[in-house]
Amino acid sequence: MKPLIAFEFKKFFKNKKNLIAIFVFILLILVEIALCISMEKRKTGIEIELCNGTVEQCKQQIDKLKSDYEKTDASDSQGRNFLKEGIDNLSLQKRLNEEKRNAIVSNDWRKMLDLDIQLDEWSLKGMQKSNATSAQNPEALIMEIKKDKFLLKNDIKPIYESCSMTSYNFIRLTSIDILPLFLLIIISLFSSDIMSNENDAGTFKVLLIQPISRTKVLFSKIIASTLINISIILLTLFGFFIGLGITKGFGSPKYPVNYYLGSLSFGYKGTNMDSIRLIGIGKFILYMLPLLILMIIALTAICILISTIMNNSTTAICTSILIYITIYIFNNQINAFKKIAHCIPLTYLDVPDVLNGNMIYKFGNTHITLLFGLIILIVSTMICYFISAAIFKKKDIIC
Amino acid sequence: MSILEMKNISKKFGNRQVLKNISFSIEEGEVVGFVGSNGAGKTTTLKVLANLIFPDEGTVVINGHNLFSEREEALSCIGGIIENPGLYSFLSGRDNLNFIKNLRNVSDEKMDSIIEYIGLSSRINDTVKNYSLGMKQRLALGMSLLTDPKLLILDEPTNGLDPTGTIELRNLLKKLSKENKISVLISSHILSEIDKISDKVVFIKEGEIISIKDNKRVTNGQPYKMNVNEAEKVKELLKNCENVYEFYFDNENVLYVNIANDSLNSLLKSFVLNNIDFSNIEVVSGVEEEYDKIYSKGALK
Repeated sequence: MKPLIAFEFKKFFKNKKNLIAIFVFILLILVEIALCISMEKRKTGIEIELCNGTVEQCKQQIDKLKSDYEKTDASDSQGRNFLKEGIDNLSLQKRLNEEKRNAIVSNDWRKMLDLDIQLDEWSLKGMQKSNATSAQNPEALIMEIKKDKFLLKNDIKPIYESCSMTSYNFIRLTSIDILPLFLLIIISLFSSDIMSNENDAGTFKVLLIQPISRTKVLFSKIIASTLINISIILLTLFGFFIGLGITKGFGSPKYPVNYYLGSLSFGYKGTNMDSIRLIGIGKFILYMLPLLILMIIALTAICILISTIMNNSTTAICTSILIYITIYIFNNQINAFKKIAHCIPLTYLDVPDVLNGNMIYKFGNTHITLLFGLIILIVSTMICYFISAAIFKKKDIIC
Repeated sequence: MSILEMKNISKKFGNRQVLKNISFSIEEGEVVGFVGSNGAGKTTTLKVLANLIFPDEGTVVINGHNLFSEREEALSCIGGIIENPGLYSFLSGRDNLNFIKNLRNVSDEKMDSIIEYIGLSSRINDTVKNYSLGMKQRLALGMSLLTDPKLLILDEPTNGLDPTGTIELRNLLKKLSKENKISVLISSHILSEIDKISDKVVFIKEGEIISIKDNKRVTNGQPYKMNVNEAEKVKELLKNCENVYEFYFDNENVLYVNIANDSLNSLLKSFVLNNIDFSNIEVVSGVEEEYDKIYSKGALK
């Protein structure tokens, strides 16, 4: 089988279509990086503007409250106390925001963190006191405070999680933003024609006339294609990880991110944010790897099955992409699918969202866990390989 | 010793019966021509032999190994080009040969000798897509010969070859069969080529083997076509002639006759003596004659 696998590698890297797909993959990541870097630069300005805006708003409200206070009759002590408390609160908010703005300008992130904690605690206190419904979830606020305290305690510089291009955050962001769709397209391009291409070119006649069992031919292709897909995707990500580490910094592997405690169970363990705990981003990426690798293996297996059934490589590639995108859209948009989403391999494409429990909220399906994902991907891979082998062993090569 | 024994092979594609009870054998060192019109089932038969198509019924034994139960052993004895040279066009000629070499543990020396043998030494590192059809045919033949097959299956191997290439291929196949004892099953539309090269010719029509002709005898004799009157009288006369190998009538008065070399004069003399009129005497190729017989009216022997 070794010469067959080696030959598959050779064919892959001599095929222009594959080289172009790799180039486009790298290019898209570069575009994402450029967009994130420009967003990160703008973020500081936006935050300063936000602080200024809040300060200005506070000033106006303080002035208004002060004038109301002066107009209020001295005998209305309750009303005057209420207004005074409001003025004090707004003054505190104004002061904190002014200090935060100065901390951002002077790049003093420790001070900024401290102020963020104070502001969040102040907001939380307000929420608890007024008992009013707010746009911000108090549980999320508690988690935010926890995270900021952790950063401060461990002397970790905070990052803009939605756009920071430190190495660790890049891996997390890419896995959410471009990897799911790109995995579908790139694996379809790489693997959907691995069998049908031989049919198109008439080379099956050379390959299958050799004294090697058809099962061996199929499994050589499966092994080669899987190894190629895993190595290209992981090596590209690793290359960018190192590159960004050198240019933008690696970031701390201890940087806290949300992790769903029920990941290693078959169902939902908690009822609220209690089921989420903070773990280091390095550890989080390590947890992501098995699911990501298994996802690549499963997608490759599905593509090879399609390639075994189809006789024409263009049809096979188009069919794979079409099937994947249709299932992906159906899965995300149609409620009936959401109930069985945990049994559909493509549900687990957004690997970080599976690990942090977001998928459970998104689909309203409590079975979407890391453990269930691993099992579904392994089972679907086995089924695809079994069907591919059964078809290929008895397939007439008509071309 | 039989290198190939094909027994009662039948195959249906949907409702269409493409092969019906195909049976024939090939001996060691024998060159067998496989002749039939387009769609007769030639390529399907060859694909069954190469295990590319699975028959519904029948057995194929190659060098003593059943193709369906001992696939690897059986396929290790064959090489071939089916339909067109199946080559990886984006790789070089050497890469294509290297693939078979690595797969079948062939030595470097053997590969170099094959490259020289097929006359591609100067272009072997070029990408195959830049090759002419003739060069592709030669490369595919080289890939087939790399593993010293006992049976070579060639489907239309002269396609794309110039006259020199065709003559070279003919001589090569003769050499392989006589010197290396390689059996060859060759299908072609060029009947004269089949006639020149084959020891035996298998004729297929609508998925059925219509005739298997021993071409050694045909090549020893000389077939003629002529117009005669009194067919019954001619039949009686020819039955008793020593030098007549076989004969049949296409029309009532069109006679095909295969006679020993240099015996045309004595045959014509006997016609004159028996008051049989004859005209339009033509020399006919043996295979062509049989082909004409099968695809026009059918045998009347």
